[in-house]
Amino acid sequence: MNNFKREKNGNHIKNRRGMLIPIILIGMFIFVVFFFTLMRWNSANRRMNYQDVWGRKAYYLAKGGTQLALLKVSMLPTECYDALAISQLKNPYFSFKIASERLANTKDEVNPNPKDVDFNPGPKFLTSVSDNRDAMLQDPVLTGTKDDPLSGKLNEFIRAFAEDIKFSGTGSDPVTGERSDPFRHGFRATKVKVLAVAGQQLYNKQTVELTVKGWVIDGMGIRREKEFTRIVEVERK
Amino acid sequence: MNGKIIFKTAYLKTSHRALSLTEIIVGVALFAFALIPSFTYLMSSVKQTSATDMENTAGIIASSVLDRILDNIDYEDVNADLKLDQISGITDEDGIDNNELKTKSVVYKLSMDVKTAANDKIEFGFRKTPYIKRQSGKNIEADAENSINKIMADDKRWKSFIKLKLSDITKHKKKTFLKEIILNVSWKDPNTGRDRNERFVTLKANLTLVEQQGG
Repeated sequence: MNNFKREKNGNHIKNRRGMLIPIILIGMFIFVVFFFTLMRWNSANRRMNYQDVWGRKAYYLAKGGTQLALLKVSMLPTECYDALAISQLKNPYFSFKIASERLANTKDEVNPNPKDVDFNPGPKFLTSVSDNRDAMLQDPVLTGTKDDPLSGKLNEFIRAFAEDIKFSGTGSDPVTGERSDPFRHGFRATKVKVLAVAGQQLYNKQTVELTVKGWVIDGMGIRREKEFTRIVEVERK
Repeated sequence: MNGKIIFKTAYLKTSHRALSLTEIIVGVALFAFALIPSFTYLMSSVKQTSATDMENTAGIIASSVLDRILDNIDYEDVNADLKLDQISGITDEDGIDNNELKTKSVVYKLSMDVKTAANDKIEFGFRKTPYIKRQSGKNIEADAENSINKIMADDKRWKSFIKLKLSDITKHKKKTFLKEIILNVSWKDPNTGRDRNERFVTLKANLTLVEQQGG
């Protein structure tokens, strides 16, 4: 019985001969997998952080650009309001506030008499009776597209207003406003969208979504962009 | 019980014979073959991760500083003398307001260049609001002369562009309205000894003044 066990154990031990190399190979395989994983993780992590730092640079350009845009809107609110009104086919000189008060007193919205306290020059809309205003406001040729909200014939006043929301002066490109020091960077207004479009009750105010895009060209020559949006109320003075 | 003792004895007795000298040498060689490059890469990876972490920290510091400057600090107070480590809101391990933010044992030096734009250098352009011919009736719709198609066809009404200098439109002649801020975050990478820096550019406008007192 003892001999049998010894023999059996002897075979068992004999079978363990040469086990070290497979164990080492398995160990190596685990090493390789581990380090490849680490390499991929590290590479992805580094790329993300790299984007993150340059993304932050673009973000603060956009946020700073919004400051300039808000300054312009604050300084020229009437011109901004008028540009927005025209983009909606509204007569900028028509007062929605007076119209509302007149309607409450069962009077016509338009009052052509300049001597009256509640003088309110017509028309309310820049469309004639034969025009289909709703269809015109849906026409991308006139009001722009979702991808390019500042395009469209009716947005030309808004485009002109937003045109100088960019760097200007020495060291900046006169067209794009891009500067190259300390790295290539710039910002531009990309969207000036009226939020309360359907509002007949605007009381000469427009709630506007103002978006500025900042960009940088990173160390690898890749363009990084970020947008910053502010909601602002524009009132005709 | 007896059998088990025999088994152990047998195992111990023959265990030396299971590993030949050649096997051990080959095993150690293979192990070293895998370990040395892996260890080298591991060390390089640790350095890279650390460098990446420092870049990321620099970005976070810049965000903290710039957000506070743009959102919380008054325009008039924004200048190169601001204690940037103090306003960052990040725990400074050195505890001193010296524009050096020590975090995770790395010292990030913060400096800011502020350029104030002169009011006559800021120009605002726009298209002049088109003339709308006075309508005598109470109709809310436009007469033919005031229809958008007619206005668009008239360059004088549609394309009249005006450009004004900020100095010409503001009543605050002695105030300025726009500052350009360049924030520089620099540090020395302790692993490589390299000097690193990241620069962030933004603008701050004097919006509070305009909101409170008008343009």
